[in-house]
Amino acid sequence: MKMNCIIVDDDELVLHLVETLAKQSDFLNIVKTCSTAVEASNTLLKEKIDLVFLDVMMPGMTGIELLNSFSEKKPIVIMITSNKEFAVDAYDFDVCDFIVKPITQARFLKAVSKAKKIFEADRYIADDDAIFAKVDSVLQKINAHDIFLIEALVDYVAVHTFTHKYIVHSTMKEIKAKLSAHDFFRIHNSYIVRIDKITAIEDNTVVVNKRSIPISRSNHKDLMNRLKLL
Amino acid sequence: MINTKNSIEMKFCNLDYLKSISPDNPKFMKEMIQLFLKKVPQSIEEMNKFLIAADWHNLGEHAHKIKSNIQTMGIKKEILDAAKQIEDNCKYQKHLDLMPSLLLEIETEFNEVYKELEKELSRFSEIMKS
Repeated sequence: MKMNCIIVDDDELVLHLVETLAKQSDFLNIVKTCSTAVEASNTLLKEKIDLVFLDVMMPGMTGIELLNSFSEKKPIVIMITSNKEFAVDAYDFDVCDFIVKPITQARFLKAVSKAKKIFEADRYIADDDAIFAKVDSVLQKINAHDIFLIEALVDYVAVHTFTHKYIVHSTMKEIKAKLSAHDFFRIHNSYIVRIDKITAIEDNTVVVNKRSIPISRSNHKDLMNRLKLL
Repeated sequence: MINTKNSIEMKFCNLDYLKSISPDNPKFMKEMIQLFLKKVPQSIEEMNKFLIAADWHNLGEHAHKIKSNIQTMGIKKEILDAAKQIEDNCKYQKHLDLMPSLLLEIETEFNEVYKELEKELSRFSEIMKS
């Protein structure tokens, strides 16, 4: 599986150079090259990005400010800069590696293989992405990838997969905490959907598995921000 | 593969660094030279404006940026040092009287760099046609 990456640098020459290096790697998929931190920040909101190549000094919003803005799910970061002094700041942010310009092929590859190790370790945990839910008297394993909808019932929640509907004794809050915030979104007090299972949005409803589910007004904007809109 | 080594003798630039990034890739070389010729004269023009306006913050940021462009094209170390000096002087607001001559030093060298890169660019275009 390839790592989705973006490259952030206000210098087009560096951008093109890093892009060329990244293309030589079999396990990198370049989603976008960004010339401002703001552009990068928007991309990070909309796409699933695993790795960011980040320049420290950019006008407007600096790389450090961008790092500060990351919320819960932080991508792996490789910093690129001409100034060694920034390395100190970088370590405060758990940056995976720090490359001082001029970037060489060997140094780039070393940084990327470091990132790959972290990525694979994280994925190993993510593959384990299943919940065990009490259904009647059995602890039933439900794979998070199969869930498209979770629906609140009075004292229970209904977990819908394409093949089953599990009635689980739990609360929306509890089940939401167990699922990845990146994949699942609470569109309404009574509904959580898996974002990649949404097939259409119509006024104030989303369609998952041919079912129309209402979106509450307060969550509408957040949901739109999470999707790639044209 | 296309031979990119037989370049004309270059006096002001050294493209070994770029070749090491993507060996046997004249397309990449060409694109990088084009980007340099497009972007760097603009940066120098901006720097001159900031110098006249005594806008040390912006002058310093541009000097910082131009350092990696200097390294990319393998331009001589004195020019890299001059850019570094502008950056530092701007940051610490010192030796501001030296700025015009430092910037002029970079600009004079760059004028030769542009000519040399233009020649190299047409050579790469020939290589890619053949």
